[in-house]
Amino acid sequence: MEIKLNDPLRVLIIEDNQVDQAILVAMIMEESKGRSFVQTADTIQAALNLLNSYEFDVLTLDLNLPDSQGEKTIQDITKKAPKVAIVVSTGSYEDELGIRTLSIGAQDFLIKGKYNGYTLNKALYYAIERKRLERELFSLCEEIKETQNQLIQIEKMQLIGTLASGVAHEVRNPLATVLYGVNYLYNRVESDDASIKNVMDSIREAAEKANNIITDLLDFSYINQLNKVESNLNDAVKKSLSLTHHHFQERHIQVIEKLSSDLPTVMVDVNRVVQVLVNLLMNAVHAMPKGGKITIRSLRDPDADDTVLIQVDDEGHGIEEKYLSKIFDPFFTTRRSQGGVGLGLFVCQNIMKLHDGGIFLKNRLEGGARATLTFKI
Amino acid sequence: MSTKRILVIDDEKGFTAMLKLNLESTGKYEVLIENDSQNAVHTALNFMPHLILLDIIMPNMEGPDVAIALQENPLLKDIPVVFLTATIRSSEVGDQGSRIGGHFFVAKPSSLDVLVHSIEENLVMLN
Repeated sequence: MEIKLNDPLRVLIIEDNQVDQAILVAMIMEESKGRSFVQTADTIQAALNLLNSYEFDVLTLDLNLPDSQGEKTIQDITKKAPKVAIVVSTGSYEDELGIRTLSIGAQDFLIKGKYNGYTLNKALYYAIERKRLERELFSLCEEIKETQNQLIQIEKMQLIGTLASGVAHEVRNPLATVLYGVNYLYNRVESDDASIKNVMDSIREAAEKANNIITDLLDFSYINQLNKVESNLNDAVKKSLSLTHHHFQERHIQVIEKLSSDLPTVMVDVNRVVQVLVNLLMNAVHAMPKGGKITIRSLRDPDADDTVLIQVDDEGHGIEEKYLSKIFDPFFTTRRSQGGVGLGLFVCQNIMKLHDGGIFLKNRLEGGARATLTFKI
Repeated sequence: MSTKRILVIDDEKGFTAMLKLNLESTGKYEVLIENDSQNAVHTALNFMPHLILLDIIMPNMEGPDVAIALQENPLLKDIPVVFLTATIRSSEVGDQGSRIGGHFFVAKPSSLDVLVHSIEENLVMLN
């Protein structure tokens, strides 16, 4: 909760000098006209106990306590109460130490004897606000890290898919040669020597084993089951945009979001839907090498009350008429030379089928293509 | 029963040689191999097969493009095409192969029985 100037504060004063302690209490109470909640502790142990029992907005901290000195005191307190703002109270000879405390978790430092009630109170409010902003920044940072991890995960899966397809092709062809060769010899070689049959059995078993490994690899890279939860598809849209936005910047592509604010929830595997959307968005990016506009919409189907739609429109070159019927076929790609395997839309279609939904692509009259995903409510 | 002519279009020389030996040993087929997909239409016109086994990923001209070229030729357009691919899983096409986007797919490697079954099924459909 954001604290406004002049709101009553919950303050913990950690100070072993009784005179300094009394001055601090008096200043805070006077400035807040007795409305603030103030507790005092002489030792770090007493402070930690109080932090267990009460919630505080801010604490003032003397760094020379009987049971804890210097920077370690700040570290212990931060660990115990990560949300509470810290204002360090130092002697006048400790300027450098004061500045150092800011880099290890304190929000401000005050030099004893150099402040009055007014400046002390200002310092407490500013420290609380600084702490709030620091935490906001921290959680944003965590969010970025999380998004980055997901992006790495998706790229990894795509890489595994590409690798698996490539390895499958390169390895299965020679395996097929071995298996068909052995099969032929089985029917043709007549020998009383048992070792000949043993050799052929061993060759066949080894080739079949290798083939099973390839199959496992392909299985791993394909999707065959979903983890469905009730979701708002706008969240999936936003996630997919955050995963692709650097491509938009690179290509000077503008993205327009037209997301329905009262979209009914649907049962979906959000990560899979994000995978489909990332695929569609990247296709749109590839279709517009010179930049342009992508419009992404979420809406209730005007023609079917029980259906939610997501549409991705681009201003690219569209889909050649002769390819429209083949675009979902496995291994069909117009970008083989750029490393396309032709499994992207095939996998998207599989994912949508697993959702009992649909995926449709068409050219728009005004130019470019429209991809539509349908989900049953 | 007369033998059926099967044209195999696949760039893998070792595999096609084994495939020819195995299919011909059944006594049901006469097999011709074309390892260069760019010659596919020409070879098909000369051989006039009953069925074509077509690899997908090949240098120069890929399987789907070969299929389009065959389809565009009035003399070849009715010949059934079975795609052979190493990039798909048996479980996706089923043990007996399957139809995806109007085409019949067989995983490579499949047992000879599966392959023969797919060939026969497509030959029956032709009749």
